[in-house]
Amino acid sequence: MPVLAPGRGRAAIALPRWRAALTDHVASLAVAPGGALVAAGSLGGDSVVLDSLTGTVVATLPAHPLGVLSLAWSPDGAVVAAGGQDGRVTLWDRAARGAATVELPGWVTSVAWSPDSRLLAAAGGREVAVITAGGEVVSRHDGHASTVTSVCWAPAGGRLAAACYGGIRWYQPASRGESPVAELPWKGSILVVAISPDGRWLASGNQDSTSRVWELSTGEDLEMSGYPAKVERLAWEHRGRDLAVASNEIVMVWHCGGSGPEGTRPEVLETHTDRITDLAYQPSGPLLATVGRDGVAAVWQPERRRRPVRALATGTPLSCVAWAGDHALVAGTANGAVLRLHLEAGARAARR
Amino acid sequence: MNSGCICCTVRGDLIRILGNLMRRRDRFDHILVETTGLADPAPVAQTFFVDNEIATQLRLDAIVTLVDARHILHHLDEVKPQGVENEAVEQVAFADRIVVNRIDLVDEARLGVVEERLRAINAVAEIIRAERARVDLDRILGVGAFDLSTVHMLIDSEEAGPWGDDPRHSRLVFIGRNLDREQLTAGLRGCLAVAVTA
Repeated sequence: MPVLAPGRGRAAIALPRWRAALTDHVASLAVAPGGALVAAGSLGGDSVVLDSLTGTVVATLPAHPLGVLSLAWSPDGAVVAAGGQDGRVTLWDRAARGAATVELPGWVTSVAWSPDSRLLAAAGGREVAVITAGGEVVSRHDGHASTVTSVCWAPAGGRLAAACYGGIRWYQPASRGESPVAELPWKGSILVVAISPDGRWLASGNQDSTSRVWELSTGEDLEMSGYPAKVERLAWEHRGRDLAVASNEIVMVWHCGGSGPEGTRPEVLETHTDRITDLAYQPSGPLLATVGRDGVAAVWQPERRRRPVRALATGTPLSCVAWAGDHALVAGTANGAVLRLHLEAGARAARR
Repeated sequence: MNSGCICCTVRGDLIRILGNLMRRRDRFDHILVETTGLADPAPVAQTFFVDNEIATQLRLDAIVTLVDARHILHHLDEVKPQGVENEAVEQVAFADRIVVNRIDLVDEARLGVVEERLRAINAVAEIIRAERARVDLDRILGVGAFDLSTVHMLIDSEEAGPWGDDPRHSRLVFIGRNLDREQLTAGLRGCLAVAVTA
């Protein structure tokens, strides 16, 4: 397992501190607020909660036959939600160590918690279900023209965005019932959406090799093109100033602060030699982590340089990544392992 | 690629399903995609070319169309509302293998008419006769029959301004690896409209 020496031979990512095993391709990871616990789910259907320092299995979550597709911890850390190819969402309560189950009409590909931790949105088939942390269904939003691929909440106002082919629908489940309160139409296939942490932008990644941002205060949208393939993964820097978008082997970082990205060129980050499968920004710093089918985990500081500040070739195709705090990464592999990777000295210096 | 047709939404689900299957530990040797009788085969076939993740992992082997010898002419003749494709014609036109089923329910003369009609729509597909859909699997699976001739509807065009004084010629640019110029030229020539003499 060779360690790449990025930059001028400075710090690398250390070899895995621990390694845990699931039964198949790790499809999703979710780190609890604070970074002490990580939930990992596989296409084999099993999912576990691990102690992120030791790799010890703290809890085994309910199985989803046919595979776990999506995981999310509530922002208060009390509940972890899992969506599966069996069309079910399970909500596992950390204190009660019990689970509630809700059924949807299709694969549950996306789950997202409201910022106040009270409501979970889950997309399955053409429906979005909004569920309390206890597992009670608050509302079901159907009538989408095609499969809902991604859901996310605005940071304030109880607004929920659901994306599918043809555009984005806004809901306000707690106060405005089951009908959409607004729409952002776009004739294309949207694969993923993410709202910037400052609530200014909604970004989408699309099948037609573009990404798009809508400025939510005006409804105006901008198309970002030049990607080599479809866009399935994007991430916002924690203040919402930068948007990182992965497509095939490259990442483009768009500066969305100030007057926005219109007319600007992105930073292009290149080091991966095969498709990037996931990316994640540091919870409270400027660093960006990427993992790919080439087995490389890389950490970037996009505003400073276009080469990774740290990288590790694990030798196994990687499928997903999450930060466990600001100084460690947890990565899932295509053959069912979960690894904790630690950033060696220098990571702290990069933090502002 | 997304011009706003319903086909793209079907393709999205197929991409997700195939992508998910290929991530599993127990990889597949073959995947059989069975569409409904009302499906337009074009977007299904295109899925294997337009999506990078799918195109690098899967190869489209063949499009096999099963037709009912007794009823196919009726379906081919069906007049659809304007703007709606006749799915039966599409499915025959896209086929690499056409299985003519239920031959025991029609006489030889009728079968000849049916096959002649199928040939008129699709001159290159191999026609296989069957009773109760019994077909030697080696003739329809793992046959490597799909080729570029079937990859139509992947290009788009729109009306431009008046031609003016520019020389009258059209240019079609293909971008790809190992393209066979002669094969492409022959294929395009085969698509040329022929003047019908009265």
